[in-house]
Amino acid sequence: MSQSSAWRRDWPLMLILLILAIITYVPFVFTVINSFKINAQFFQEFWLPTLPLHPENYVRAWPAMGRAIFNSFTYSIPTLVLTLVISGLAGYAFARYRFPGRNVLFVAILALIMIPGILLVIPMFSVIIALDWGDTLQGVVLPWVSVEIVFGTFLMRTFFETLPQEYFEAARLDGANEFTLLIRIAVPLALPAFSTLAILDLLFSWNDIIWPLVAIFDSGRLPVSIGVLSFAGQYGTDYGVTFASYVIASLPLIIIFAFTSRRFMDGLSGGLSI
Amino acid sequence: MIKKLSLILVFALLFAAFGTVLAQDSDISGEIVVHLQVYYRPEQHPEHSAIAEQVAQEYMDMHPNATVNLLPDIPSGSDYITWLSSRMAADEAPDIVWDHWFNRSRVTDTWWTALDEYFEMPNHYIPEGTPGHERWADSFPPNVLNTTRAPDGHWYQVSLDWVETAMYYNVAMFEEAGVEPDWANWGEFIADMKTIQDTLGVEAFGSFMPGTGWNTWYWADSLWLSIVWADRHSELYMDKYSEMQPDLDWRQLNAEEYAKAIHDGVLSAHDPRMDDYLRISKEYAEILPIDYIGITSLGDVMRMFLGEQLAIYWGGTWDNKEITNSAAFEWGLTYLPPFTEDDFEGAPGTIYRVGGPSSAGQYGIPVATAEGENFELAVDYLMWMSAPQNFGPLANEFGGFIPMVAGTEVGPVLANFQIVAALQDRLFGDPSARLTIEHGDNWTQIMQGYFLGATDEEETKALLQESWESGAAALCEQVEYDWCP
Amino acid sequence: MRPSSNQTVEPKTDSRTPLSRWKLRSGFVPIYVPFLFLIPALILLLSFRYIPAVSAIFHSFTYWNIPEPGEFIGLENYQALFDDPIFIKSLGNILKYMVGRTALVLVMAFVGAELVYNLTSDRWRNIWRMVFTIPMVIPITVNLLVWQQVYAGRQGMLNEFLTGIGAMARPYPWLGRPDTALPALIFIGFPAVAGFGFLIILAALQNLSSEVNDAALIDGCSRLRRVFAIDLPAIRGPLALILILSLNQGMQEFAPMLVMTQGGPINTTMSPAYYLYIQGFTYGKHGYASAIGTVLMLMTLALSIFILRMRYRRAYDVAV
Repeated sequence: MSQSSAWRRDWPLMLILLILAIITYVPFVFTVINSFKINAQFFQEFWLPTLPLHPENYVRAWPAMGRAIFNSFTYSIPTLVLTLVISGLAGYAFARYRFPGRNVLFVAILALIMIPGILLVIPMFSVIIALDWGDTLQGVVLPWVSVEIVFGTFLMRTFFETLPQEYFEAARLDGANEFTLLIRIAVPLALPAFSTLAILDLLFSWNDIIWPLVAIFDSGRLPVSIGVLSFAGQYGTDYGVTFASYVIASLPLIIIFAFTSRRFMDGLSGGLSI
Repeated sequence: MIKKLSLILVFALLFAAFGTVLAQDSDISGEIVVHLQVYYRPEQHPEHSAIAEQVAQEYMDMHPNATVNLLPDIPSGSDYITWLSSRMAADEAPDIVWDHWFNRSRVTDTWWTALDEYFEMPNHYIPEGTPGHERWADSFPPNVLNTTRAPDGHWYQVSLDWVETAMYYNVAMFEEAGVEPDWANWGEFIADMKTIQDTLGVEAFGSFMPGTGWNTWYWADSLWLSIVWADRHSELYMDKYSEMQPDLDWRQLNAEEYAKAIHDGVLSAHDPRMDDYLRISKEYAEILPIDYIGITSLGDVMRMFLGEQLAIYWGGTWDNKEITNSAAFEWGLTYLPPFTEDDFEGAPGTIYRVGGPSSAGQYGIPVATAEGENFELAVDYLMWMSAPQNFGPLANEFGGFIPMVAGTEVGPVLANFQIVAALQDRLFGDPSARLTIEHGDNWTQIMQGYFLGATDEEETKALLQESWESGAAALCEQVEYDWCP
Repeated sequence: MRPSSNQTVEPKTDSRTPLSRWKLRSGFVPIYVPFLFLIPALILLLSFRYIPAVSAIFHSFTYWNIPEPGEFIGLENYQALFDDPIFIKSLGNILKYMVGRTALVLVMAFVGAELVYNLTSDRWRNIWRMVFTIPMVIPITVNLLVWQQVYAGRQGMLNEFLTGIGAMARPYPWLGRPDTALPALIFIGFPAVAGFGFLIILAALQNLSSEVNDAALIDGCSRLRRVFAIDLPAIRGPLALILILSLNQGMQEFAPMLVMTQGGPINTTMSPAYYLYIQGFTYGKHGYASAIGTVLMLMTLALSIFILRMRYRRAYDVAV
């Protein structure tokens, strides 16, 4: 189909999409605009840009945010790796083997999605303290992983089930053991699904506020989700700097999204369903 | 017999006092973590945080075997109560930690150590001749001690500073509406607020009232109740509290006093005084911003004022800095008018101040610390830190609160608030500080129903009575006063 | 390819060998292998999900004044809970919120996905997909802050707009009135296209066999009719997934209530999860809060089972 006829067919859809996109981006644009204001300007005008711009808000936000971003990576990367590995293993087990208790176990894991997160804060913290993991990396990461592998197992199972059995049969006849099958055949094919899970996991660990606040004792090691709150508070909020820190905090995710968006979609293309 | 007993008591007291003297002479050792809330935020507020560090360093120089670790405050926009609750649940809280005094009515003895016996001891860090040197409690103003006493009669914290509130007003708006920031009575004030609403098309009076939690409507509510019940204050007081503070013939009610008065039927929502309370409350609600029930933070009200959408903002000493920095217009400070006979029969002819020890200098010691080996150090450091030469400069450098330990110089903040500071304290405290925090939220919800027209006067009064009774019952269940049914 | 109903409902099923036909021959794979793969997950879930959850459920039968161990009081918390008018009201509120919110999210995600799916240009399809993926990074806190200003009484965006076009004479306090506060919370984040649901639906649509679509178009089936006749039944599985996730999230919602209304006015936006939060953390009644959480958990579970039942019953009803 030629360019122009495609355009003729598509323009009404594009127009609606454009309107939806504009409304969707209001919070985004608003955040950027206000990150260039000082308080006096912010009080006078909430929505529109005002002059002069104050880029120094970014300079003021950076020391705290730079460190917070670094901290966030130190928590988010191990969380990511463990989530992928553990969900992959569990999803694979559910997808490829029939074993006694398979359905019961799967339902028991999936049922964990129903637990209100706030209910478990104190019991979970008590577990962490009992293990003497207060203020440790694993004290932040492992509870996060345990939250994420629930959906992760579900997602990976769904994906592994779409893989043709014949690949596995052939390799198995060649004498490959079960672990080799997983590493050599399943994992390479499942890369898109892993990237979907990775993005969802990153979004979760990047934005969670309550758990790191509770589990981390040293405020120098708090992640971005809490770092952005440093300039807001009961005794006056520095709005411009707060918005600048929100922008800084989102940048790593936006960059990662931009580079992985296609893989992300491919991971879903197996058809996530129940 | 009595003589013998009192002799034993005297000896016991002497021994206790002597014991601490000895303890202070012998070298204190151990390691504690200290959380000072806004007084230690080295990144956001390096200036006064340096003073906090210096105070800790001097202490450690004096006691080489003691280590004091200052914990930088958690980011102020985050969820403090979840942070503290989980730490308390796991016995992992700092050894000296901040919390609002009225929250201590919630958990008292399972979280916090009662400090009463230490209040009776001398605080040698306070210079000789300054109140508190002989008996630590003398360092705190009597009305503060009265207000911050927990429902079970104990003190679970020291309160070192004070907030004061007043009305910041927009001078140009007042001039344009032809209104003076000075009123002879409530009726005049309401009329002027209506004039501002009608002639300028801006919001008149800045206050807010969300569904639950602290808000500045609390302040108004406590004032209206204080005004209408003023004439019966002496019947509301209990002797045992009055005797403890004979120099206060007018003071804020204590949790037990509310509960007892409700139980005895003195404090009743069916009393004709409550008609005046409801009428004043409704008149007040009508001068607030249209979405006063939708706003959830005081910051949003202040923003309305600084954005020149609001003629009067009811704020506190802590807002002084921001308003000075960000207001693009001329502003002044004023306060609510007195209530006179023109407003209702039996009006006291005055108004009360809204201020209190709900600030950053409120510290307690968790039970877990008291049961551990660093308790002595924690108490001793609390004494050191509370001494006027240490706390005064810290508070004045921050400039948001008024240091109130005896012997501190008052910083420039208070200068603007003289009119209010000269007034008498409220008879009723904030709703959440009366019986239980839950009762406070309940009270808010009932009054919202009244303001929004969901309930009429009679229904509202019935609900308020129910709320008072259930609040008193809850307190009785928790504390088990001897008069409880 | 035979366009059987089976194929339109589960387009992928015949591209692989059904699992039932691929049973392990005994002795081929040792029985412990799947468990070996599951061990890491089970250890983590046991330590950080099951044990805390059991602890919370246990404490719902106690008077729990932390840090003391709970004092067993039987069903007292549950009795009090079902006599608590605020809790009962919060159940009604969350039902309305959940249904409204899920309907909004589901419809808008579907509309968005169909719009993008129907574009002829692949390049534009990818661009729009990206446009509606990026906003997922906006933290909920920022979103709520902005929407608070959309609904604000004075100078709120909605009020300025409606009074500007003359639809209303005076600004209205959307969050400050019992009749509008909950609907206002439901519409936070409008148009609610950007999100995980949009991506799942779009992926499912792109997964549909294009032959069926082309055949339908050649048969003179209009694009709009195709959406309802072919697309919608075909993506029932993904829709059910989004439905469960969204209902589940709606049931446990508390951030919008916490930030925007704190449960007001007159408890019309009080949600069970927010009530759990204030009962536990603000009032210190952790045993009572645990009872709220347990009830909430059971309700979510029942709801999910109900939806799954509905879906699988309906799936067999499809006429051939």
